[in-house]
Amino acid sequence: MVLGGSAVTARGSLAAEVSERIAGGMGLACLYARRDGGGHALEAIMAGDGIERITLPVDGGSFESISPAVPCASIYEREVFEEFGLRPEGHPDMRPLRSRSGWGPLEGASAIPGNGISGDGVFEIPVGPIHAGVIGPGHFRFSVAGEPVLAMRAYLGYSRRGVEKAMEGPAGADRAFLAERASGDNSVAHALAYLQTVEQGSEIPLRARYIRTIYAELERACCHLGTISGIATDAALAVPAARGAALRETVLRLNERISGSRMLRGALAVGGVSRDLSAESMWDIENTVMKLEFDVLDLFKVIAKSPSFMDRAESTGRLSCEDAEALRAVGPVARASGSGYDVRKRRPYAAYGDIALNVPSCRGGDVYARLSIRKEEAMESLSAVTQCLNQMREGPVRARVETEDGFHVGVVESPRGEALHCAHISGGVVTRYKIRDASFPNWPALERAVMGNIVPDFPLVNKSFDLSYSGNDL
Amino acid sequence: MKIKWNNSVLRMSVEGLASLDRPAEGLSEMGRRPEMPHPGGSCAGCGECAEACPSGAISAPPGSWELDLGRCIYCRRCVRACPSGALSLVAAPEYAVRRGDLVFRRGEPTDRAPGAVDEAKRRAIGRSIHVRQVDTGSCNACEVEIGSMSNQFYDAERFGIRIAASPRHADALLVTGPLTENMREAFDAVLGATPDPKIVVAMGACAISGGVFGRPGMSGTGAAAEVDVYIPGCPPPPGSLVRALLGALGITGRR
Repeated sequence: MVLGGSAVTARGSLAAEVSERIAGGMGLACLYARRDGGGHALEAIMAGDGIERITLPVDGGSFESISPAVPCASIYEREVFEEFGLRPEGHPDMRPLRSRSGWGPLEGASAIPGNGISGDGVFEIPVGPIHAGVIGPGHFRFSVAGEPVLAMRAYLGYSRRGVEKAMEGPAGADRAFLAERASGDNSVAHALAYLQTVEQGSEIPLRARYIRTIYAELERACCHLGTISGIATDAALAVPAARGAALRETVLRLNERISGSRMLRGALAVGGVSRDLSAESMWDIENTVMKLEFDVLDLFKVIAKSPSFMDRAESTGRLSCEDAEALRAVGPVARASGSGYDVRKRRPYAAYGDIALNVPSCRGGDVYARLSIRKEEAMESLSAVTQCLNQMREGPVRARVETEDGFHVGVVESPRGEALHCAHISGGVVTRYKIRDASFPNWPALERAVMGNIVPDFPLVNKSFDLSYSGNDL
Repeated sequence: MKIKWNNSVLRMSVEGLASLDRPAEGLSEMGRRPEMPHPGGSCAGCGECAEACPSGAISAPPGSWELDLGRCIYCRRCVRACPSGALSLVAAPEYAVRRGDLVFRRGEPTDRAPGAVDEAKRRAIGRSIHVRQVDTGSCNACEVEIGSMSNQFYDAERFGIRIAASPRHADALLVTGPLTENMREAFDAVLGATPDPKIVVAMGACAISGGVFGRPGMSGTGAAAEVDVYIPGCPPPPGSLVRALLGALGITGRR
C-alpha cells in the first residue's frame, strides 16, 4: 500500500505546476486551503501512479485562479473562497457553491443568480431543494425553450453539516464513525479512506485486508443495484425496479448477518476490522453472492430487452469524453465516458493487488452506458468477493498502528468513484481534515450532460449519475 | 433428454435460489428488532461506556447511568468498552411519542409501552398514512432505509403507508437529518405547505437530537417543529420504521 507520496512547494505559478503534471498524465484530485501560521496555504493534490502534493502559500486575501487553465479546479476554488474568504483572481464563474446565507430560493427574490439566458419563449424552472422522490436536498435551475434544456445549474449545500470540522481534534480519537456518515451509502469507502490517513501505510494483517475488500465490494454491489433499480424506476419499468430493489435488500441483509449493520457501519477498525469473519459468515457470503450473480444478469437482460427503455436510455444525457476529462469526472460516470481510471487498479490498497479485477470502460457516455458500466462493475464486485473468500487464510485481523504528525492522504475507489481524505496532523492534533467525495467533481459533469435533453428526462439522467448530496455538501 | 442449462434451470435446481420469488414478510417478523445497552448488577460505575460513546448518548456521572436513545447510533462501542461485562443488550423501543421516553436510567424498567399520538390526530388520519420525506441534511443512510421500506420484503404500501410526492398530499412529514442552517427556510416552508392535522416524525439520531453532528444550532427537527413521533436509530431499519409508523398512529391492533 503506497500512499502519502511526495510534496513540493509551488515555485511561482500554481497553474503552471498543475498543468505540467496534468500533461504528464496526472489529474487534479483536490484543491483546498488551510490555515498556515498567520496566513493560509493552498494544497493541490495530484493523483496518477502516485500522489503528489503541491503547496502554495497565500499571503493576503487572494490568489491567482488556475481555473482558466485547469477547468476542473473551478469548484474547488469556489469552495476555498466560501470557506476561507480567499478570492481566486480571474475566476470565470464565481457563483455561490454551498453558501445559502440570505438566500431565498423559495421566496422568489432569491440570491441564487439566474442562468442569464433570455429570449422568446425561454423560461427558467426552479426545482427543489425538496424533491418528489426520497432523495437528498438540492436546488436546480433549468433554462428551457419548450422541452429542451438550454442549461441547468445545480445549487447544493443544503446538507452542509460540518463533517470536515468535526473530524479535527486529537489524532488518537477514532473518528471512523464520522467518516462513515460523510455519505451514508458509501460508509465503508469513507471509513477506509479515513483509516488510511490514520494507519499511514503501517502493515495491516493480510486477512483483515481481504475482509476490508469484501466489505468494500459488497457495498459497491449494493450501491450499483440500488442505482440500477432507480434507473428502472425513473424509466417506469416497475418489475425490474422491484427486482433490483429486492436484490439490494438481499445484500443489505447479508451485511447485517455478517457485521451486525446493514450499511456495514462499525465493521472496520483502526488497524484492521472489528471482528473476524466466521466460517459460517464466509459460507453465507459465498452462497448469497452466487445467487446474486445469476439474478443480476437476469435483471439486466430484462431491462435491456425492453424497447421502450432502450429508447429512453440510449443517447440520453450524454457526457462527452472530452467533458469528462476536462472536468475530471470520476468513477462509473467517467468510465462510461472513456476513462479507464480506477484507484483500485492504479494504486492498489487493501487486497486489490492480490485479486484479478477488470475495470469496465466504454465511450457511450449516455444513460445506457452508465447503466451497463454499473452492471459490469456489480458483477466484478461479486467476483472480487468470491476471489477474496477463496484466497484468504486464517490469521490475525487487527494490528497496532502508530499515528504520526505530518500530512497523510487516504484515497479509495468508492462506489461513486475516487474518494479522498487528507489529514494535516501537528502535535498529535488534526488541524485540517479535507474530504473530497466522488460526487463533488461529478456534479458539474451532470450540468453538462443534461444540456439539450428534455426536462422529463432529467430524473433519469440524474439517477444514472447517482450522485450524493451529503457527500458533496459534507 | 437434452437439458438446456440456462439460468432458469439452474435456479430451479438449487433449493431457495430464487431469492426474488419470496412473498412479503409479516409485520412482526420484518427485520431484526433493535437492541440497546443496559447496565446490570455488576456495573461498577466506572464510566468507560460514556467515554467510549461517540455520540454522547451515555452519561455516567458517579452513582447514576443514563442512555439517551435519541442520540445513540447503535455502534455497541460501549458494550465492548465495559471492563466488567455489565452492559447487556436488551430490547429497545422502536419509537416513542415523547422525547423523554427515549431516555433510560439504570434500574428503571426498559419495556415501556410506546403509546400513540393523540386521539384527534389519529382519528383525522385514519387507517392509512401518506408520508412526505424531508431530508434536512442527513448522510443519506436514512433515505436508503426509507427506500427499502417500499421493496417487496417490507412492502409498506400494503399497510397503507405511501410515499407522497408533495407535502400538500401528505399526512405526515418523515424528517431526516440534523436540520442544517441551509435547510431551515425550506423546512419552514414545507411545514406550512403540509395540511393540518399533520404528524411530524423525527427519524434517526440526527433528526431527534442532531446525532453525531449535534451542536448548538443544529439539534434536529425539534428546533423548528413540534415532533409527534421519534424513531431512533442510525439509521432505523425498514422493519422498525413500518412498525413504528403503524404503532404510533394506532393502526396496528385496530379493528
